[in-house]
Amino acid sequence: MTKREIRSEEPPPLGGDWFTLYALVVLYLLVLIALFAWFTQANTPEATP
Amino acid sequence: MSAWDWAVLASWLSFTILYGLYRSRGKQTTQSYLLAGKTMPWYAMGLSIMATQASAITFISTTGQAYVDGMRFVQFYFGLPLAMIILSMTAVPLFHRANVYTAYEFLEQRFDRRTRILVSIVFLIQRGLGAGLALYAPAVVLSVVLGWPEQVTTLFMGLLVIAYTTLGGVKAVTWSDVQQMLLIFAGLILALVLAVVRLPEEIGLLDAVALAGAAGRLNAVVTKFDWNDRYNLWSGLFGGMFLALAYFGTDQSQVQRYLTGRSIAQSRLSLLFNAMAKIPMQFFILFIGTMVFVFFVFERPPLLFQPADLKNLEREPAYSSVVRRFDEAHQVRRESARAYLEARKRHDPAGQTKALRTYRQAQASLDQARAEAARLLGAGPDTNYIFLNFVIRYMPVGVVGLIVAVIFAAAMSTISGEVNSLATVTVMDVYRPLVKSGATDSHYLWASRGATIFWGLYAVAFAGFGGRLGSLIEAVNIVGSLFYGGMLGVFVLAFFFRFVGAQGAFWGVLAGEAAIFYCWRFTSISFLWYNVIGCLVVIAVGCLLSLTRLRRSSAV
Repeated sequence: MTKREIRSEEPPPLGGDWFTLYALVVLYLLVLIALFAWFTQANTPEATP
Repeated sequence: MSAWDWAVLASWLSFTILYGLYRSRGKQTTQSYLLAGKTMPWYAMGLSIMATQASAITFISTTGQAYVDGMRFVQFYFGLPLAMIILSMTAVPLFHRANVYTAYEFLEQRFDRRTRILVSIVFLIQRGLGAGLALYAPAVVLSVVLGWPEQVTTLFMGLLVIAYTTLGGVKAVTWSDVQQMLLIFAGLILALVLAVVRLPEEIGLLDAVALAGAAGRLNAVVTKFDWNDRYNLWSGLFGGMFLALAYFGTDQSQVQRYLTGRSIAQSRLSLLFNAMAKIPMQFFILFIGTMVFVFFVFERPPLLFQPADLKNLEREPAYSSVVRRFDEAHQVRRESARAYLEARKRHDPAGQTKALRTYRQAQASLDQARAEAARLLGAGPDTNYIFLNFVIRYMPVGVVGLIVAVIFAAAMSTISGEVNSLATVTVMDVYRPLVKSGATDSHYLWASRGATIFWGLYAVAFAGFGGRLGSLIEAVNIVGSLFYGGMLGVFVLAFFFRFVGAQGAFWGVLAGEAAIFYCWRFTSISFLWYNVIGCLVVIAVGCLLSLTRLRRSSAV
C-alpha cells in the first residue's frame, strides 16, 4: 500500500469513523428541515378564524 | 458613499489582495500554481469552497429574492449535504488517488481523450458564462453607489481579480477566500442587526417575524409537490442534490479547491464543513431579506428599486396614477400591520383575521402597482437592487463601505476561483494534450498565467449581458443546470458503471445535453429537474450503447 493510500484511511480528526460522521450530517439535515417546517407553520397564519 | 466608507472599502481591497499574494510567495511550479502543492488544510479549503460558491449575487439577489418571494429559496440547498456525503465517499478518494490536476483528466484515465476534451469544453462554455455573471453583480453595486457606467466598474473589478489570480495562483485564491469568507460572516451579522435596529422603536424582532410571516415571506418549507414549482422540499432535496453533485463533483471551480488538500481526510472534511454551514448561512441571508421587507412596511419603499428605471418612470404620463395607488396601498399596509400586531397582543382572533386580510390585500395592491410600473417601462425585475437600496439609504457611515466590501469580497472570491479553474482546464485538458505536449514545467506555468488573463478578460466581456437576465441568482443556476446534468452523468458512469466504455460515455453526454436543451426550450419543467433528467439520459444512453457493443462483441 502506498503512503497516499494509507493516508486515505486516516480517520476524522475528532475521532470515530467516516460513516458515523456521514450519519451525523444526515441527522443534522433532518433536524434542520424539521425546524424550518415548524418555523414556516408557526409563522404563516391563516386569514380565516 | 462618504470618505469613511471609501477608506473602509479601499483598506479591505488592498489588504485582501496583499494577504493572498503574501501567502503564495516563493518559487512557483505548475503544481504549486494550480494545486497549491497539495498542502491545504481542511478549514482553508472549506472556507474557500464556500467563498467561491457565495458570490456577490448571493447577497444582492438572495436578499431581494426573500423580499419578493419569501424564504422558500432555502430549499434549493437541502440536497447539498447529501451530495457532500456522496462525493466524500466517491469523488474525493478517486480524484486524489488518480493524482490529477482536473476532474476531466480522470475521464481520460477512465474512458478516452475524446470524452475528456468534450466534457472540458462543456465546462469551459458553462463556467465562462457563469464567470461573466458573477462579475456583473458587483458592477451593479458600483453603478448604484457611484453612478458609474457598469462597463467601467466591470473592468475595474475584473482587472483587480486578474492581477492577484495571475500572480498568486490557487494559493492566493484560497487564502484570499478565507479572509473574504470571514468578512462575509461578520458583514452578514452586522446587516441583520442593523436591519432590526432600523425598525420603528415599538417593533421588536418577534413583531417583525410575525409581519414577515403574515405576508407569506417565511415560507421556508413548501411540501406540496409540483414539477413546475422551482422551490419546494422535493425539488430541493432531489433536484438540489443532483445540482450539488454536479457542481461539487464535476465543476473544476469546486473540484480544484479540494484537490489542493494535503490528504483525502482533509478534503472530505472541507466538503462536510460546507454541508453543515451552507444551509444556515443561506437561511440567515434570506432572513435578512425578510427583515428588509418588514423595514419597508413602515418606511415608504421606492416604487421601483432600480434608480435609473425610477427616473424614467417619472416621465411617463401614467406615473402619477400608479404612484398614487402605490402610496395608498403602502399606507393601508402600514396601518393594517400595526392593527395586526395590536390584535395579536390583545389575543383578539377576530381582530387579527380582519387586519391580516387587509394587510394581504394591501400587499397584493403594492405588488400590482410595482408590476404595472415595470410593465410601463418594459423593465425587468428589480430584485438585485433591493438590498443595495436599503444599505445605501439607511445604513450608517462606515457600515455602507463595509457592506460594499463584503459584496466585493464575495464577488472576487467567486470570480478568482472560476478564472483559476478555467485557466487550469484550458492548459491541462486542452492546451497540453492537443496543442503542445511534453513542454517544460515553466512553459505550462506561463501558459496557465496567460490563460488566467484570457479568461479574466472574457468574463469582463461577457458581463455586459448580465443586466438582461433578470434575477441574477436564478440566471446563474439556470445556466449551470443546462450543462451540469450531462457532466454529472458522465462522472456517474465513470464511478459506478464499470462495463461502460468510451463510446457510451461520449454519446451519452451528447444525448443528455440534447435532452436538457429540449426540456429548456419546449417544456415548462423547472430548471432544477434538468440535472436529474440530463444525468439519467447520459446513464441510460451510455449503458445501452455499451451493452449493445458488449453483446455484439460476445456474439462475434
